[in-house]
Amino acid sequence: MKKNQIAVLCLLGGVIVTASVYASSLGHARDLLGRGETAAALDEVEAVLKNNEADPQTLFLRARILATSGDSSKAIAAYERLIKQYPTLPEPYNNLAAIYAVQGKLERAREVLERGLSSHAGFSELHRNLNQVYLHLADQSYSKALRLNEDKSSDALELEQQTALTQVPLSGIALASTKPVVTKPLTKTPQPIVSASTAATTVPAVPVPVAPVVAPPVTPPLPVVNVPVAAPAKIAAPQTVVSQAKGEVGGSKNISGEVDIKGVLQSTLLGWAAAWSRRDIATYVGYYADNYQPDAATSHEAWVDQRRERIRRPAWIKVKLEEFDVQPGRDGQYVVQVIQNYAAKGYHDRNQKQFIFAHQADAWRIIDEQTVKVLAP
Amino acid sequence: MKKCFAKSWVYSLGLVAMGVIPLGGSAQGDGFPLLAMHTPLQALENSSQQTSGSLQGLFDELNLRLSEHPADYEASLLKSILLFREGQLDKALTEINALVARAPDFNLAYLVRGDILMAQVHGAKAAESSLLEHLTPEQQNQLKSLLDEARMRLVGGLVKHGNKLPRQLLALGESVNRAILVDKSQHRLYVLQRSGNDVPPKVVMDFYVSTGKQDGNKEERGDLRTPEGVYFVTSWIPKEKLPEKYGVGAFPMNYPNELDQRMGKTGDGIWLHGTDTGFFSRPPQDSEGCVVLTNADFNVLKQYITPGLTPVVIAEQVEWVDESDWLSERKELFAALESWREDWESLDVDRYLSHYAEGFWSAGFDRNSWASRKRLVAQGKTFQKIKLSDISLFLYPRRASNGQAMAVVRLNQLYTSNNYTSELNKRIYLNRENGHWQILYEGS
Repeated sequence: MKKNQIAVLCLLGGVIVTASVYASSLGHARDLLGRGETAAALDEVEAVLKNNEADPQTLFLRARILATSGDSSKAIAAYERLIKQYPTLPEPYNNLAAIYAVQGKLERAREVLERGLSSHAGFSELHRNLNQVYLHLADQSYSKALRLNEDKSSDALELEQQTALTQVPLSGIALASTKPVVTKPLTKTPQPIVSASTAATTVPAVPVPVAPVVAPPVTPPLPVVNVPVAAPAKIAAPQTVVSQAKGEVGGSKNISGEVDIKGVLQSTLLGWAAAWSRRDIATYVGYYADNYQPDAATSHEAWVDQRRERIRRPAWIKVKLEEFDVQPGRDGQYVVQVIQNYAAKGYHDRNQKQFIFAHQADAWRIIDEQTVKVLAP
Repeated sequence: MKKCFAKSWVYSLGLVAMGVIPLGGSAQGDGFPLLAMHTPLQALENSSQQTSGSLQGLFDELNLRLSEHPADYEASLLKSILLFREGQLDKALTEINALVARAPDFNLAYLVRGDILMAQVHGAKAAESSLLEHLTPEQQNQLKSLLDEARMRLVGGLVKHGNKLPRQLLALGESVNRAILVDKSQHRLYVLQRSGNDVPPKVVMDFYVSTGKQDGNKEERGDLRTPEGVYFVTSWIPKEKLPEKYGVGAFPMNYPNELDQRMGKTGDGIWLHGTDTGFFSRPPQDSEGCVVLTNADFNVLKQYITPGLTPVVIAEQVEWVDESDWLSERKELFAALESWREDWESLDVDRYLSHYAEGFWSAGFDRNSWASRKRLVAQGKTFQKIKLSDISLFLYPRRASNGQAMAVVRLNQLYTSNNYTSELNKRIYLNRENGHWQILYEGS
């Protein structure tokens, strides 16, 4: 009995030390990914995986890097591996579906999302994306019925992606860890280990690896919970999902612990463009301040109505952003300049846009939007 | 959760369809083409026509169709619609996905599939397809045509006539063996098969058909109407000799027939034919007067048609009547023919001529010249024997005969006499004057 406890504690100590090292490496890799340096980011995660080859958070980041670098077949394999190893985590299903969707393989995307929902009925992101897939499939079917658009490219659908795992099975890290870096023995009597049958836990809503683990290596021990991988995980708090949709406010920090504001605003704007592209008016409007007015003469409500009408009218919309430039503005606001490529059925344009973001109600929101310059398409 | 919601939505749709709850305003159905289809099932419920009864009966019927003809795409489509209305969205989707994989040009199947997918969207009670919301007027017409097709296929494919018999077809001779009936109002073509001497013919197949763009009976060239009357397939034109728009083949018919010509109707080229390559089916009212089938259906129909022989009765509405009514009309016509035959055999020319209507005509004859000729011929006769066989009887669609009760007979006539013998196939038109069937036209 005592021997067993010590063995577990050895492992546990290893986990904690490993965790802090790995957290900073992972943070670095994320940072590299945010800057588009996918090769370097991949090196970084591969290094982490050498010591911790089954860590879900790292495997997830690796899959994201592969997906971003455009190696979809490797990214698919990576997500499939995660799903096989951790079938209760919803995010890999979500992102795997997103890869299939962008390839226009909507039936595959649907199947993956349904699979994810079978163990995660409450994960609203999977539902949202599944709805998007169904809407897109329905529209495709309607357009075939009416022979509107034989264009194959309209099969592609951009789904909202998840940037981190919200629930990590701790046991997954501990038990799957094959080469603990440190195995310093612990001397203090540990708290009783909670058995699998009686306890479940939720991991903090903030993604584990982004917040540097500052726990002292000896006391108090982390609650070790032997949650079986197949056990139904608890549903993430709704705020988490919302804040992710708004660009991981407060979650994305670089190694030094500072918020990577550029990355946050960039992903916020990408989310904004994605919502616009799939003509999801509710999410799209959610990126703006609650009282947003395009000008003094147009009320917020009138603007929302106008946007709804404009966004719904075309059969499809594609918005692509490039060349982000983020500068601090006054009162803690940020000014983002970006080139916006807008395409809808029968129309496209290219503009230099400027956004002003203010931090409101736990998210970065657009308080001003201007077209600075019309560019040649 | 998702399924429950969708299920309750479709279930309420079912209630609308059954007339249990009224369809409140238009808000409910916005963006959902199938919702607009509450009428056909309601019509089924209210109609005196018999469906197979229970829903399970309808499924059994469709499964039987599919087991007999695996390429019966309509049966698959209807099955999917019924499953959808029952709230069995997954099964409905599986069925329709298999259908569009096999019939990738079936536009209506894609429409149904769109609705089924839409119903899967969580909270989709008022979900709208932005695509359907922003159609041009031309596209809206296309959508309407597809819904019309759906309506016709639902009614035509699910309404069964049970033990009722078509008044338009009272007898089928053994050499003719089969007849085609076309119901323009329901866009349905029926194949009837002779089942024996004193046994009514049986419906063996039925298909959705497209007919002329314009309502009404054909009068003149270019009026885009499908003629109503009793016609015969005259020939066969294979695919190779046809422009693409006729699909896999064509059977020309004898429009304008003897009566049409007599009435001064014009136009020609009224055919049964297939569908333009690249299209699965056409809207209900889409042709210039022809009766159009899908290529798959046409290929099945082809086996049942003998050029030069097969009758095609086209009516605004085929009248399905009880067997007793059907039998009494049949009996009356057979009796009239028998009476004519006996009087002809009797050598009493006046008795014979009493069977001929005032307006009688034949090739080169009117009633008077016909009477003179018959009197002349009778002078040389010491006996004559007439044997009628292979008799087919058709009641003429009322509207096509200006409201008159008319009939067409096709028979084999074996004539023997002291100085002359002949055997020929005759076509006789009769009309009913003062309660008696009289011969209006006779030809071979």
